[in-house]
Amino acid sequence: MLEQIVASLNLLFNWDTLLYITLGLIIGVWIGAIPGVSGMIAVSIFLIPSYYMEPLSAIIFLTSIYTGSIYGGGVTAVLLNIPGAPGAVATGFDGYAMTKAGRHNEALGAGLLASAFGCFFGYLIVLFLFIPIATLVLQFGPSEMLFIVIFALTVLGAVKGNVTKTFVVGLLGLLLGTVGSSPMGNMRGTFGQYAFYEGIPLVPAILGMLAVSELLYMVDSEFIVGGKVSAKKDIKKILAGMRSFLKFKVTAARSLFVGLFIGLLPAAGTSIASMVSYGLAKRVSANSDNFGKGEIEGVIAAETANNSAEGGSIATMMAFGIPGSGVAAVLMAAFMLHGMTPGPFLIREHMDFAYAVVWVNIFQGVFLLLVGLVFIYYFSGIVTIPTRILVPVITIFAFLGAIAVRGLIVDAAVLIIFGLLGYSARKLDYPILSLILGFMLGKMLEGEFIRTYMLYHGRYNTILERPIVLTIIAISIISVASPYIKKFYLNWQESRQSES
Amino acid sequence: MLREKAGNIIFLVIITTFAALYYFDTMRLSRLEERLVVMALFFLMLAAVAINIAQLYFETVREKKDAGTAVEDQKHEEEEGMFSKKKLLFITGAILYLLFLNIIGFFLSSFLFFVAISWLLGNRKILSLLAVPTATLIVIYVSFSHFLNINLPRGMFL
Repeated sequence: MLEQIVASLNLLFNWDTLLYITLGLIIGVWIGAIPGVSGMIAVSIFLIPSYYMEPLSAIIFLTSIYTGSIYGGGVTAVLLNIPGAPGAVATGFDGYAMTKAGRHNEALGAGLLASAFGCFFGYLIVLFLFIPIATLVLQFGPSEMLFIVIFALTVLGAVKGNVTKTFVVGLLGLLLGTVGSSPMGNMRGTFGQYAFYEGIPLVPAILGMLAVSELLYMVDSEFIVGGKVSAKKDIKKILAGMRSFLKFKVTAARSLFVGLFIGLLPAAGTSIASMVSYGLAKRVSANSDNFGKGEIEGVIAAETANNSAEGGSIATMMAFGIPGSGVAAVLMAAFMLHGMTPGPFLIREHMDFAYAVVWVNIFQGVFLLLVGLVFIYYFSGIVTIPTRILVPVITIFAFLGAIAVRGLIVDAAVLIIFGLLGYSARKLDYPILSLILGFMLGKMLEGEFIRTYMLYHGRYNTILERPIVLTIIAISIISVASPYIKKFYLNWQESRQSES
Repeated sequence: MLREKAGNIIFLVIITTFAALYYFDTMRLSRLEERLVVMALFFLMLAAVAINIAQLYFETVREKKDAGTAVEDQKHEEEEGMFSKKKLLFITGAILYLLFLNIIGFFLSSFLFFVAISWLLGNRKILSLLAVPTATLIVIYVSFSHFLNINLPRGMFL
C-alpha cells in the first residue's frame, strides 16, 4: 500500500496539476457562492470540456471545482444567511449572527481555515485508511443507516429553548420530508402535483426557509451590519478569525471525524454531516448558550464537517462505484468518460490513480487557503451594500437558484411558501434548525425504516445483535446524556468545594 | 402579547391542517408500509401541537393575572405585528414576480421587481433605480444563460 501511495505522487509532479487546482478552486468558489447553484451544477458545466484533458488533469480540475464550491457556499451563508449549497446551512446559523454584529471578517477567516483543515485532514485519513474504511462501509445495512438517522435526530435535543416548539417544527419538518412518492411508488401529499413526485425539492425549500425569511427581516433595516459597527474589509480580522480556529482544536477534530464518517455513507451527504457536527458541538461546548447568537465554534464545527464529508463521499464513490451525492454521480461520469469505472475495478487496476486523486484533494486544502483568502477579502465588501439594493438582488438570485435545479417555476412557489413558513417559525420562536433538520432527514428516515421493517419482519430483536447498531445506540445515548452528566458533575464539584 | 399568541395559534392551525390533509391523503393507500411512518409522525405532531396550545393558554392566563395587564396589553398592541406593511408589500411583490416570470420573461419581470422593491425600501435616486438593476441583470443574464447554461424563463419578451 505504501509503495502505491508514494508511486501515485509521481503522477502529480507537473505544472498542470498546480494550474488545474488553482483554476478549479477559483471557479468553484465563485459558482458555489451563488445561492442555489451548487457544486453539482458547477462540475456538470465543466464535465464536457474536461473530456479534452488528460484523465488525471480532468479529475483534478473537476474535484477542485467541487472543493471550491463547498467553501464558496459557506461564504454567502456567513455574509447573507443564504447558503450557496445545502451543506452550508449550519454555517449560517452562527456565521450570519457574527456578520450582523460586524464580525463577518472573523467568521470568514475561521470558516476558511476550518474548510482547509477539513479538506486536508479528511483526505489524509482517507489516503491511509482507504481499504479499512471501504470494508467498514460495506457493513452498513438498512438497520445501521436507520440508527444513523436517529442519531442525527438526537441533535434536535441540542436545540435550546422550548422543547415542545422544537418537537412541533421538528416533526413538521420530518412530515414535509416524506412528501412525495411512498416507498411503493404511490403519490402522497403532493395534492395532484406531479412536480412533487420525488418530494419537495431540497434547494428551494432551504433557500426559502433561510434566504427568503431573512429577506423579510432585512426589509426593515438599512444595512445588514447595523448601528455603529464597522463593516469594512479588514485582513487583520480575517487572520484573527483564523487564529480563533486554533482555540477550538477538539471541536475541529471531532467535526473532522463526524463529517468524514457521515460523508462515507451513501445518501447521507454534506448537509447532514454539517448539521450533526454543529448540533454535537453545541451540546458539548462550554459556550453552548451562545450558539445561534454568533459563536465562532459553531462556524468551525459546521465548516470542518462540511469539507471533510467531501473526502468520505469521494472515497465511497471510488471504492464502491456508489455515488453518495449528485456531485459524486457527476464525478463518476467524469471517471467513466476517461475510461475508468469507479468501484472494485478502479481499486484493482488503477489504485495509483485513485491515490493520486486523494493526494490532489489534500493539496487542494492548502491552495484553498490562498484562493479563499483573496476571495473573502474582496467578497466581504458585500455587507456594505445597502439593503435597498441587496434585497432585490438576493431575491432574484434566490428565485434563480430555486428554478436552476429543475427548471420548474413551481420551485419558485416552493421558495415563497417555505420563506413564509421559515419567517413565521423564526418570528414565533420555533427553532428553524429543527425544521430544516427534520426536513432533510424525513425521506431518509422513512426509507431506512421501511427497509429495516421489511428485512427484519418478525425478528426485530436480531437488529440489536448487530455490533454497529449497538455502537451507534451507545454513542447516541452518550451524546444525549453528556450535557446532563457534565452538569451533574460540575454541581457535585461545586458542592464539594463549598463543603471544604 | 395577545396578538403574538393569536399569531402563534394561527400558525399551529395552519401546520396542523396541512398535516391532517397529508395524513388523510396517505390513509387512502392500501399498504401499511406506505402509511406507517406518516401516521406515526402525524400523531406525534398532533400531541406536540396540543401541548403547545395548552402551554399558550396557561401562559395567557398567567399573564392576565399579573398586575397592570391593561397597560401592558395596550403597549404591546402598539408594537409591530408579524407582518408590517413593508413586509406585506415585499411578499406581494415576490408573488407578482413569480406570476409574471413566465409571462413577460426573466429580464423584464426582474427589472420591474428590482425597481419596485428598491423604491419600497427607500431608494429615490432615478439613476440608481434604473442603472443598477439594468447592469445587475445584464451580468446575471449573461452569467446564467451563457456561462452556466441555465435556461432562464422566457416570456413574451426576454
